[in-house]
Amino acid sequence: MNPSPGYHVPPPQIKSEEEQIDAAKKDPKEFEPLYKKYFEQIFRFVYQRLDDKDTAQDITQQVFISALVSLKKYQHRGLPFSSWLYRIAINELNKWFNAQKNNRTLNIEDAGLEEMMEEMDEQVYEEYYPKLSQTLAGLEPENLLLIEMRFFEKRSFKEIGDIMDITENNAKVRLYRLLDRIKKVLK
Amino acid sequence: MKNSKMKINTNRKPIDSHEIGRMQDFSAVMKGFGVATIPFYKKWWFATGSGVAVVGAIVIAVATLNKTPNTETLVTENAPAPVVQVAQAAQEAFIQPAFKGFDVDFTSIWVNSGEAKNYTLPSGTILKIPACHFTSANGDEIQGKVEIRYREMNDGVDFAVSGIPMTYDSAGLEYLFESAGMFEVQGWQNGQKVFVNPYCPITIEQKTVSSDGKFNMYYLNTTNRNWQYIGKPNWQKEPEISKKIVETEDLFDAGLSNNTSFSFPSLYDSSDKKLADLQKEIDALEKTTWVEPKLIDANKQNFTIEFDKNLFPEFEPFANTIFGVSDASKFSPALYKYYWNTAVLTVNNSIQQTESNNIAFDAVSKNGYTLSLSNGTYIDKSTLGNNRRLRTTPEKRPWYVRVWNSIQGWFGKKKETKNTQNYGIPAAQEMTDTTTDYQQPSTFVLVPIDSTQYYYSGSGYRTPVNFTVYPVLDSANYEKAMKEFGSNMQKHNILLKEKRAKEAELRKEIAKRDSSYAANMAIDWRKKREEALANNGINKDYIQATDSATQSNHVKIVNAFAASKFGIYNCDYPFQYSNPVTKTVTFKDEQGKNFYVGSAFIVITNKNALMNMNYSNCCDINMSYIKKHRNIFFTVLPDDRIAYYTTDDFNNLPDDQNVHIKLRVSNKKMENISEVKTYLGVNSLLMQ
Repeated sequence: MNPSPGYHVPPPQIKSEEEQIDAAKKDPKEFEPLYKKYFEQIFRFVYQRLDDKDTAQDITQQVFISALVSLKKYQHRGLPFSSWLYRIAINELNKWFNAQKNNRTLNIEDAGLEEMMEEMDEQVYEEYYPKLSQTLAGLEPENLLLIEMRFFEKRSFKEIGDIMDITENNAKVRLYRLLDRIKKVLK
Repeated sequence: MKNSKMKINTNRKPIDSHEIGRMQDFSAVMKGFGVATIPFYKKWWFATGSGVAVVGAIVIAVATLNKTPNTETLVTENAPAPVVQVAQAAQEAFIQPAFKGFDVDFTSIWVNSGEAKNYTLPSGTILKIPACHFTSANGDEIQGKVEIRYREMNDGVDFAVSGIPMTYDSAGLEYLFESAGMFEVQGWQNGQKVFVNPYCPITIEQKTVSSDGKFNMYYLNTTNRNWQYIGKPNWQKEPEISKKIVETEDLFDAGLSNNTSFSFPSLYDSSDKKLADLQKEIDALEKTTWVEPKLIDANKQNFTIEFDKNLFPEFEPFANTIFGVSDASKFSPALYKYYWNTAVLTVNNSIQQTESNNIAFDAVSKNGYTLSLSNGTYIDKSTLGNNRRLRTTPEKRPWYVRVWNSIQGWFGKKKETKNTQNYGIPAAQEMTDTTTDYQQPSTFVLVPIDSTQYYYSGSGYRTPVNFTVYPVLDSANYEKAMKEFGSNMQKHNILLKEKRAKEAELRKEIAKRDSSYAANMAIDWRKKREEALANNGINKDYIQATDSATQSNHVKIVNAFAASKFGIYNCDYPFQYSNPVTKTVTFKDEQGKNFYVGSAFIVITNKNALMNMNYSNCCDINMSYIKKHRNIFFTVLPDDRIAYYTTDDFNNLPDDQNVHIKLRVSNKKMENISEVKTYLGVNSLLMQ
């Protein structure tokens, strides 16, 4: 599985990013390079859970506004800055879903469903896809987030752990337990 | 896991990086950040809630000014400082109308959600509502009437009055907008906002003075507080809109909401009357149901009605009509044992008049007729002889019910009773009647039939009977009737076609008339308003200037824009405020006292642009303007009067670095935009 683009940032780059963040803490205008760097990733993350680009754009903008407002509280923990932005994005999305009700969208690809079936040691039959999709749509938000990040956004367990603020192992255990549950439902 | 109604998209088309890149707008983030971090003492709740003392002072200051609107007391150097704070606090609201008493008015039109319709407004703008339902915030279809509110801002004064920002922030650089027209459109139902179905946009055809390729369309993103570029305008030439049909009532409704009391000649004239009459005729023709002639059914009871035309004129149309009984079981053979003194034929539904003058189809009911027979007198065989009036040979000829003035005095005519005679009846002519549902009359009287014949009539009457009958034709008449029926149908269709063609022609004429009316209406409206202002002695020079401008300028272009969401749209060209002259200015009132301006505007009339300023002092202020432009400076006083500095004043400013700007002050509070424009001498190019 290929990791999501731009996540595995080598340590020297993190250092440089830390310097950019520190500069932005002093002068918000210095936030622009970070904004340009992460806009696409955050937009794709947001858009993955929505149906229209305009709303995704608005929410993405709001993510960066919130990030800029909270930047002074940001602490370097040796993690990529993006994982912090993703957490803000999850918050902003939840706020939006709460306000709008039922505007959450599940965007899936056959390839992701196929991979899920394989991961569950199941024969891949396309006839199962509609039922599997419906099952995913009925998952609790944090479980759906886990599935989406793993199978439709191709994120590593390390990145999923960082975004969800859990360990890599914990992310793995949670996912396989969840797949077991889904398997039972499908049967 | 639970059941979910979450929307599921499968294999959605991926979005490319280039497109995402275009969505980046860091300046909007900076703006949003700026708003999110406004210090508490600048927040609205502080200005309106916590800062009671300050607000109290403001209220007192404003109230004091409002109480003396006719004096020349201005905000001078002795004025309390909070007035400036009001201007600062007000600026924090994103869209803040300049005047307390009025704003740029919305025109409301009411539309049926889901119904396509075009509306022409007094300004000449056409709103085209598609046949799609508006939606709620949740995306549900809206049913019923929806209020569409629309307003246009066409010049610098409109922009200032509306308070809609006219600067554009792109990559941290601030631009002014040169506008070719701005509009705001909203949708409401029961106090709730409704939304446009994004796949089914509404179209706004707005008049404009320029179709220059430099203009772009922008949407005001009120969340990010910045204008968003959305594409290029769609220019069309005016003749394309002149063909549009005007909705007369909407035109007047729209006009009435324009805060004026001018009356305009009604559009309803003889053409409308002709159209209404024609529509009635077409409706009648379309509703006509032609009844196909029916062939007589020998297996059923059939009869004709013999009658005296003088006594029964109402039966005239049914002369020679053969009626077939629809339900033979109801037509008991016992019925012909009576002499029916009263027969009533009732149409079962409305009569369908046709053009036929022949046989039975002068009046034909699709649902048949009810024949009611009553006052039936028993006919004893001994009284009938050869004169019995009911005869039957069903196989060869129909039944006959003879309706006759047979009872003495029945129709007011008295006939003398002659001597009693007995009339025999041949046994062969006797009919077999096995039924018993009749009353035996207790007494008999001799009734004259004609001058030589009589019969006995019993004193008891039989229970009335009703049955449904249809006009039918025997085979010879049937063929003739069918030919006539075909011919009549053909005539009918030709007539309908002709009338419809005439209707279409008439509608075209009316549309042309309405279009021309709409084109002239805005100009007439404005002229009348200006006449009224002129009669009140306000700026007659301006009225003259307007008149000549009206004659020389003519709008030729419309911007036909499809809006997939409600909001504020602007057709603009962003330009930078380059090479300005900067002077050190001290503002003075007409009495020469120092004048604290606060929030102010420079209207750049040749660019159709607006610049906002905020001065916290009266004196030695750096004021920038571009000399080659036609600038008008104005500020709104707390009592809605204006202090202003005209283009001529600017032109006459000395070249010195330090200058005094003596502001003119209106002697009355402004009541509407037209008054403001009159004072400032601003003539909207787009309104002509």
